[in-house]
Amino acid sequence: MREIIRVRDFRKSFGDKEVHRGVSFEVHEGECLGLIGGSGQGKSVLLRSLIGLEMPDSGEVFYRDLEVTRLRERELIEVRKRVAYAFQGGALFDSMTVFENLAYPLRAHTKLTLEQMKEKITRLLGEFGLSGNEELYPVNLSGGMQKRLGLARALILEPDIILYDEPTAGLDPFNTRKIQEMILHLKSKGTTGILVTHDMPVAFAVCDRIAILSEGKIAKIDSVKTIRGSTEHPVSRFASGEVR
Amino acid sequence: MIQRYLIDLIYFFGGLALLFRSFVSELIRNKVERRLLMDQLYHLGATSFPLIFITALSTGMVMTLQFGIGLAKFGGQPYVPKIVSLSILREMGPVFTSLMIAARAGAGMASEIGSMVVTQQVDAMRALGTSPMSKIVVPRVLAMLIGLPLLAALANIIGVFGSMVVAVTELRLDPDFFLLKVATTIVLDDLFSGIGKTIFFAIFISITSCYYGLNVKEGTKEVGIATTKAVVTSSIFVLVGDFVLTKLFFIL
Repeated sequence: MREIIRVRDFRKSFGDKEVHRGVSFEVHEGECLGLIGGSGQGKSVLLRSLIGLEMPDSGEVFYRDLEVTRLRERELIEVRKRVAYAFQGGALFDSMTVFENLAYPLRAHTKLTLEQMKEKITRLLGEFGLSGNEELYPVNLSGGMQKRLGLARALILEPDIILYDEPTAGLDPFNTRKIQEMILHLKSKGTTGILVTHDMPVAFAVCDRIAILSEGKIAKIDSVKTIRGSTEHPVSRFASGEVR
Repeated sequence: MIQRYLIDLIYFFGGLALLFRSFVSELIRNKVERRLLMDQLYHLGATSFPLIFITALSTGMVMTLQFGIGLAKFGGQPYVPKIVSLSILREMGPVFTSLMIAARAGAGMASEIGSMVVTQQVDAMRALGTSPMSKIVVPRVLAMLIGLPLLAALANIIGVFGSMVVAVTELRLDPDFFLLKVATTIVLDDLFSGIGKTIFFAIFISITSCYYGLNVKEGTKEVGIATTKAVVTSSIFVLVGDFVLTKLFFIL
């Protein structure tokens, strides 16, 4: 399978703290890669860097042939249209209704008429179990619904890749299962995914490969089957909750 | 200590200059979203008007009362319309309106943008391939550039009206005499000098408030700090800027 994302020798520090000490990995088209590691290991920073929301101190990030780390804000727009980011808290626009939140990227990047937008949004809301909430504001939705709406908004431009930042954090089992099913559904349609999570059962259920970030580097990257059966440090110890 | 303070100051003014440059370049390059601009104009104009009304009315009334009582000793009450209208048009109207707007709209801008940063809404705009500059900064700065001069012009009218009310009821001046004195005193230069300054004040207030809002990093606690800083700094800019601009306008 073709590489769609490539990260090479990614290094980033915050003040005196060196968080990433040369992270390298690649993601292939159509696969779902799980990125796991303890809190403070810089998983979200790494994910944000894939679309230029953060820039490394050194190292390279490629989306297909484009070197994201060399692009300017204006040039990054094309990458961000193709690589969607589902934020941990949804990051919904609280001054806009559910409909307006979903219409926002369509208005910015497509020439769809209002009718076409309505049709697309209604269909998407149906798929995400959010029908009938078009006129509500995000504050009126439950945490699970907000996450699903955030995911729906990330998907509305039909991207090649979705970056999931802790999509199931803080959710009840019902909403966790819903999100898990959605990720699997997207994967079945060929959408590439990178999943940052602490939720090992979800990672095992939806990912093809798992990368473990530990002490600023990728400590292990392998298939779910291998990772699951591994007794090596830090894989088994992280999975069993012995280490952060 | 002083070195650190100076470095921070250079960063701050550099940040303001960069934000202003980005605003201008965004304004030139991209079409302004009318819906966002109208929203901001409504928030600025309609919701600030009662505050401006009370401020301008009481300023005109108090000034008239003070000058009236003071000048009565020298038989100078007939000069009250001239002095008060000139003061309002050249200074009090534009400056008080700007200070009120800095406190109300500037605080609103900094806290709203700061909250958007904390809740990752600004990141979401970027992640969705849109520019926070065109969605957040441009409509707010532009609304301020349009709204503040208009509010200052209204404040001038209301201030002079308040002055006339006190002049007629307390100083026993004839309303026709009052209006005649105002009309023969004020020239276009007075009007433009006052309103012209508000264009600069609009930039000071909106750019400073947007800057503080966008630079919130440490969570909700910093939103409050950014809001206070936005109000204090833009008020200082208005007051110091007023002196500099007045001097400049006199030279020109």
